[in-house]
Amino acid sequence: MNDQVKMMLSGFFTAYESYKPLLDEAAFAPLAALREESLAMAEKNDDVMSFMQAATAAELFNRWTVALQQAGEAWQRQRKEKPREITLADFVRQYEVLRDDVKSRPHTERQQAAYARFLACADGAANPLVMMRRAEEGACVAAIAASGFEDTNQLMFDRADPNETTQRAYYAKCIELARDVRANEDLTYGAELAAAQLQQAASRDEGVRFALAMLFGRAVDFDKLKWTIRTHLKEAPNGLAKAPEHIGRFLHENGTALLIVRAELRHIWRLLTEDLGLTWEAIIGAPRWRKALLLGASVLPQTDRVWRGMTPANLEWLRETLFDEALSELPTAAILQRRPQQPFQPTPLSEDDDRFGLPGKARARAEALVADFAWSK
Amino acid sequence: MSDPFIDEKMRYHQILLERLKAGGRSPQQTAAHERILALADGAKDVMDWQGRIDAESLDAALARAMSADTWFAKACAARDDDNPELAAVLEQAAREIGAAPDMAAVNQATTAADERTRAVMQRQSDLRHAFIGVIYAAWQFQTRHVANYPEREKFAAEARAGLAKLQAAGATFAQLCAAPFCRKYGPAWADEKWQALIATVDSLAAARRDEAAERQISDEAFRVLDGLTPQGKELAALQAEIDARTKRQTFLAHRLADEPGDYAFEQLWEGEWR
Repeated sequence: MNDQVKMMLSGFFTAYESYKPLLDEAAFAPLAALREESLAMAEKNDDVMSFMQAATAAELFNRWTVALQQAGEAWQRQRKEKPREITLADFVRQYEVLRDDVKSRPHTERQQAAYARFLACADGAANPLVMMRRAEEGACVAAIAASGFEDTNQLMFDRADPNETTQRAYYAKCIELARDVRANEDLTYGAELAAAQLQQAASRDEGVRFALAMLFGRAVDFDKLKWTIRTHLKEAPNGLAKAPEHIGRFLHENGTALLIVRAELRHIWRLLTEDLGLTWEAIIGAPRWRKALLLGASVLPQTDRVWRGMTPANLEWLRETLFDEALSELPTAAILQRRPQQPFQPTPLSEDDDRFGLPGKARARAEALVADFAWSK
Repeated sequence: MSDPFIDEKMRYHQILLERLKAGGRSPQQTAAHERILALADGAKDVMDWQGRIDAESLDAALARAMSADTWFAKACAARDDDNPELAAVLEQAAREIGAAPDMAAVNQATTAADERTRAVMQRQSDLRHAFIGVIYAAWQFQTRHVANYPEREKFAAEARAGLAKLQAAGATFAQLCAAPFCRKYGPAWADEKWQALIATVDSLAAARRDEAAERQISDEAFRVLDGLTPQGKELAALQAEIDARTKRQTFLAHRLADEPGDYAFEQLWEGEWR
């Protein structure tokens, strides 16, 4: 079974195991049938997307929810109709099933510890009530859910690029919430609010990335126009008016575009500085903005700490293009005559990627780089 | 009340009650625990107390309250996030689930609440998406030169398409600039910046071709290039020298240390650029 599918079904299967010793055969039958159906569906759909499609079409998750609620009601009915005292062993066993499920999954150390603390409340207890009283005194029950939340967010925190400060701050906030939690509703409240604030901060970051992409894209256009003019101006040695008509028009159009793009770079720079409050130092001093400018793209699904992008020399090219040329007082003619210190270094073409196997090389190197980190497993 | 089970059970409910009260976001569970504790008054033994609890179906009420309080906690978060529309839907869910007479009614109320919540969130998300699209189109528009009519018109059209979506949903751009569920997703601006953006968006409809500006920049370009034509060969040589220093490159960057800081770069590949 696909690991992600296994994770999706794990909660349902754990609940199935919990009800197994509690319900009579008739009441348990719907859960048993759903488990069989889920296993067959997982077997037939080995990737997570096709499993999700099949599960959605069959309303599998909704049916699990309903069946579990009905199982809960049946359990309540059984208790009333045939009262039997739940022994401490029965009670502990239900939680051991849940603990075992958690233990079977990686990166669940905190939740395993929370279960251990909870189950330790049974030591020397006369009955389930005493155990639960002790557990509540130690806030062990709320800690079980909170520690699972902490494990998840700690893993996401560890896997996240430390320079992606917005995401990291959110994970850190969630970890803090989980550590302080006394009631489930506190965690729900804090997590919901933090998630909304994350989306807002991420959207604001996206606005900056959008403006940076406008700046970078226009600077590349500026470079291309300089290239075209420098390369073709020799075809009009006696002036534009005396050049063949198509040459004269071609150069004139590119010259006009160069002036327009230069002015537009000034406008974009004004947007970044006056409207978004940035400076060159703030942009270049923030690794995440440098990554955005270099078109950094993650190469591994589990982490964005490793990414592939342009040469960092292109940041110096951008600085030079902006401050020594486009935004400077230099006349455009002088810009065309100027020898840049750092030329723009373009990225490989898609056929280069294919021919030299660059995505595969990047992935292999990235995997080697993160192999020793527990969070990468 | 010398029954040790009563003492044990009372302590259990008291601990939960104190904790839930302190959090302040679990009103229905708090009420259920208070009622359960009140029923202990005068109970002969724990069986008597449990009988009173069962008579009022308080165990089931507690289960319902847990679900209702989850919705209530979400409502508190939405309210504190300045999203009263979402908060109202979530509060309604908490009330309806808490008042449901049995589990079937809880399921029904939960399904209905899920649908209503999803509808509000989807509507807000669609509006937000169109709103942000208008901002980006306006930025593109305002940073284009007045002589760059084709591109200004392209981005004005993009913005107008976004505004039409807002209008179809019964909203205006100016309204959404003031609505936290949209505004908080845009730049962290003071009112005057938002007003300036609204003015830019308003001006999109009136965007016209500026032939005088086009002529002016065209004339300037002619002068600049015409003046450079005697140096055509030198410029071509300069570009050839730049081309010789130009390579296609791709790098792998990583930050494996846990604190923010510089990336380490490794060159993956270099090749000719054409």
